[in-house]
Amino acid sequence: MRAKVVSLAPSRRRMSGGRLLGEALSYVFLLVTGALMLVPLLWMFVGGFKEQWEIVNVPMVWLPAYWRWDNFVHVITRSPIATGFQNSLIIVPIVTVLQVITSVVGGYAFAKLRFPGREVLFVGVLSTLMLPGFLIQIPLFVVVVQLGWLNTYQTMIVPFLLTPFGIFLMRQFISGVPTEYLDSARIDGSGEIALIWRIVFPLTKEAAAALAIFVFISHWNGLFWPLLVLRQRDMFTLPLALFTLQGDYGTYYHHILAGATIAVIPVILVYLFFQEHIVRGVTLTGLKG
Amino acid sequence: MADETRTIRARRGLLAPLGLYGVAAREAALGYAITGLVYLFLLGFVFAPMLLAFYVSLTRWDALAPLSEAKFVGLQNYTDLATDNRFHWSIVHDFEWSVKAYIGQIGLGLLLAIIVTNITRMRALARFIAFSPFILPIVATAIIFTIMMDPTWGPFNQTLRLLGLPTSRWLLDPVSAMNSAVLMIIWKYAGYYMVLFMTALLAVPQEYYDAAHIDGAGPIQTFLKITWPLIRPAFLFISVINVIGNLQVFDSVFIMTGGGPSRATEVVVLLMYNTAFTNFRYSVANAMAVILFFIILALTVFQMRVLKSDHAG
Amino acid sequence: MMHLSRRALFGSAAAILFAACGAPPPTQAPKPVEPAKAAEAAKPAAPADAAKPIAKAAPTPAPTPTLPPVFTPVPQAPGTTKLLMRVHWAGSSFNEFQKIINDYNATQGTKDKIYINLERFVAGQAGPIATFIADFQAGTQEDIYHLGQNNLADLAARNFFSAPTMEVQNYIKQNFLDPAVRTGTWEGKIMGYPTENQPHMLFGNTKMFQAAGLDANKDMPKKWDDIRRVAKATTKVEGGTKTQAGFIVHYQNGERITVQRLMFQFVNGAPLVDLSKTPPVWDVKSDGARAWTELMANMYADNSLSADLGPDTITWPQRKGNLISHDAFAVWFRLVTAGQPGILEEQFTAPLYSADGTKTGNMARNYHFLVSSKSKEKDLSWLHLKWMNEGPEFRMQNFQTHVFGFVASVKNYELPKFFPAQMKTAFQESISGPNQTIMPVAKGMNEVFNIFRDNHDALVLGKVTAAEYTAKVDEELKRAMSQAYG
Repeated sequence: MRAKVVSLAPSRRRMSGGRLLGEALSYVFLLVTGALMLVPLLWMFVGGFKEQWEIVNVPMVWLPAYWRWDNFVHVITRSPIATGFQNSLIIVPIVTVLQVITSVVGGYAFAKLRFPGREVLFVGVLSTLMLPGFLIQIPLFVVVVQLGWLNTYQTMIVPFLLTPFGIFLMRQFISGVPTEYLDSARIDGSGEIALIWRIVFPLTKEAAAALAIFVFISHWNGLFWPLLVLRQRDMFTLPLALFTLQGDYGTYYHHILAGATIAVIPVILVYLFFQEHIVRGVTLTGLKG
Repeated sequence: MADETRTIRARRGLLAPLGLYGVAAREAALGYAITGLVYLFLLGFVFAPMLLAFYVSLTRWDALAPLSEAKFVGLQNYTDLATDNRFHWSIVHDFEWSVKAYIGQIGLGLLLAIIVTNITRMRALARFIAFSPFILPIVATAIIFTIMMDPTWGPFNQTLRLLGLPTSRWLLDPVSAMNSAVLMIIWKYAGYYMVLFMTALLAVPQEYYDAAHIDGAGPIQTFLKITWPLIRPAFLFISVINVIGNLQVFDSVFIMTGGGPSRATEVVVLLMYNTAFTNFRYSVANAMAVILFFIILALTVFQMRVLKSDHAG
Repeated sequence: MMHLSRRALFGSAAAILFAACGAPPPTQAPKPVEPAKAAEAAKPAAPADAAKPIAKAAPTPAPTPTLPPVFTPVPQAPGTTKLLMRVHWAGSSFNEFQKIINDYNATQGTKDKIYINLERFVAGQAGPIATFIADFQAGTQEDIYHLGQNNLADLAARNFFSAPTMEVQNYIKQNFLDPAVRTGTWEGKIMGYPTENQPHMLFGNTKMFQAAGLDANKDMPKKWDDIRRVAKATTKVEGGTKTQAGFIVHYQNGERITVQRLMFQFVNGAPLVDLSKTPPVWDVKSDGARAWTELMANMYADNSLSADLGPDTITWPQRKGNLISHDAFAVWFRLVTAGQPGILEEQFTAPLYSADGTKTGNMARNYHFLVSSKSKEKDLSWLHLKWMNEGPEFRMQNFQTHVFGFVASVKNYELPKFFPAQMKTAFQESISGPNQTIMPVAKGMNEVFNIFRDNHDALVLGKVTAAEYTAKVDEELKRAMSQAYG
């Protein structure tokens, strides 16, 4: 049984007229949607360079008369944004790596390992997603205080070692992998742990990459937990710094937009980077299910 | 031969009482080990706080006094909420938000995913652009949209005026506030759902589509008979995540409207936050959370029933 | 198989990005931007910004502005005890205050053996309670709080604060304005130094009066029927859209809405709340109270209200409305920093009167310096606050007056220097009058604000009638009180 290769490029086939029209309409739709998606982002980028009055003026000022780089300088030098940046850059990749690993392992266990009570145990894990986050976080905060972890890196990492969301995601995707592939590897003498390492991880690259992106972004942007546990400015993460920026600057939109732009750059880079990887790579779907 | 050696070397069954031996036992042992670790973590970081939250909902506590001084009042918080009109309305608003956001995010996300997986060029670019709203921090997105929706000088209305179209008061009018805020959340997450759907769609082997095309199936038939059954497990996941997330919406509403105007956008978690932290009624907020939890649980189970995949893992 | 590469990718990506952003962390420096209003909720819907005139001509490139000097904190002197103080100010207000703290640390602080570490609230004015609770539980709370009286009752009732010695309480009583002291009193104890005062007046725009054929000096309304009449006369509708509203309403801010109603009802002889009862009883149903509701409803019917033009934070500074009742701080934050040029001089200031135009009065609401009940250095905290708040320098009070534009809370109070002459006289006369009330010190005030905000917003948009408003607010307030005090 041959492994099938499915890439992002569709198969080459002569296209009928109807298909061409469908393609054209698709492009138009995507163009319009794409423009709508980008406009607020572009507005934010450009706004970071404007003066305050240019943002709130009637009629609209499209481009600033003078590109105010000093907005950015101001934000970087006078606000906690730069430290926030560094702290986030330490914490978030660590959390992402840990969560992807634990999610793949956990998802695999619930998807493919056979043991009695599996479904019930899985629903138990799933149920934890349903409690509103911030209400867990107050008692959790009390726990963290007892441990003396307030204002530290570990308090930003350890509670996020594991995520039911990730386990759920990976479980759903892994359940689409044909079991025979795994069984044949077992018969070939592979130990269970080696199985996960050598077979499951590569098979789930696409989904794991998607998970990594989501985890990275949601942790990059996480606000409420840092708000509770980070008590000193030099420990702030980036969104917290941005939030204080908004409070500090009230309604000085040009600074807020500049700060938001700065906050977004690494996330864009990460996403660009992963895009490369996914497009360049090849997704193995294994055997026909 | 390898088989027999394996059986001989099989460990004496810890799991023998469960009827598992040999390879199966090893597999199950690993399964339990992993599950055990997961539950250990959850115990400390989720279940314990969750139980604490349940307990607190049966007390009167303002989170300032030590917990040991919290007065036990049984189900009184719940009976109070049963007659609390404002709480009922917050649930209605929550549902209004969730339904609209579900349709917008999943509908648009799925549509975009289908289109993007079928076009021949610029897929990566399309995906990148559609996903970009998601990467903004919610604080920034909410601020940007609030500014852009300003009725006097915000770009939205200014553009509408330029085009000669009627303008709206967006977030400032109780009638349009909810839709305006939902618009923001759809904008933010449509790309996210598109990526999720694309991952599922791309896993469908191309030869199925080829076979269907040869058999002369139209696009709708193809979708219903081939695509849909194969992406069902993924769709279940996406659907459940969406409902869970949207019923718990807080950040966007908090920043954009604060629940107003005139409570038009007051959703449950926002009311919870105010109850706990501006009214010092932390335990009542916990009771609200418990009720919300059961609502979400019921909806999740419902979705799993309806969207259950046919093959077990 | 590329299974290792993912880990490496993460690592290298992180390393590259980290290296690329090599900017050294800034020193703990306050932010020197133009002030944003202290007591404002940090809601983006209310821009208190420097809006220039609309349709500006093609701008010339502005030179890169030199940023004002940042006052970095002085280092801690040896032998001093570190105390934590948090305030909620932004930008240059914080910066100026840091300067004062630096002065203290460098001079008196070394004598008192105290070093004050000044920080800013993280959560902003809109909701510090969550972080207060977190800090209180964790023991990381500040020693010295600077808070308005909205949460005073709730927090004081929960033993959040520690009252000063009788000596200090007597000093406060003797040297500060009586209403300003009452706003900081809980169960007979004076909890801290009042740092400023916020009396409430009626403002009108003389130019808009003129344009309507009126003279602000003579026609500034006293009777409520006159308010209605003037509002109607100064409303401008051009081509179906309202461009100028005769009466600017507070919109979406529960505190300001409540303060306004409090004032109007007070001067009208129908006080909004009776604090002698527990729980306090709120009155929106008496004739005197309903007269205000009906005034709003009538002005809505006349199309004189500004609610559809946006929040008062823009309509007032951008000349979109005429009459408004507001506190003293609004002069600085709306007119001076955010207003269009010349708008301050156009203002005519007058006190509020009862519906029949005969009785007048004013009010106080304040911030206070308070000390945490969990502070390990209570005595030292009060020692520092003595320097900050006592005479003859009255440093904090002077700071608030001349930097923020508040009215000072000391008995020989000063008015902000930039108030025009007419404004000064009007304030002076009104504050020194005998009829003064205070913002209530009661539990559950946040919920009260929310109730008034939500219902008032509906009223001024014409979504409910005056009768519906009265019934709903009455019921909700009763419920809120039983929840707060029950």
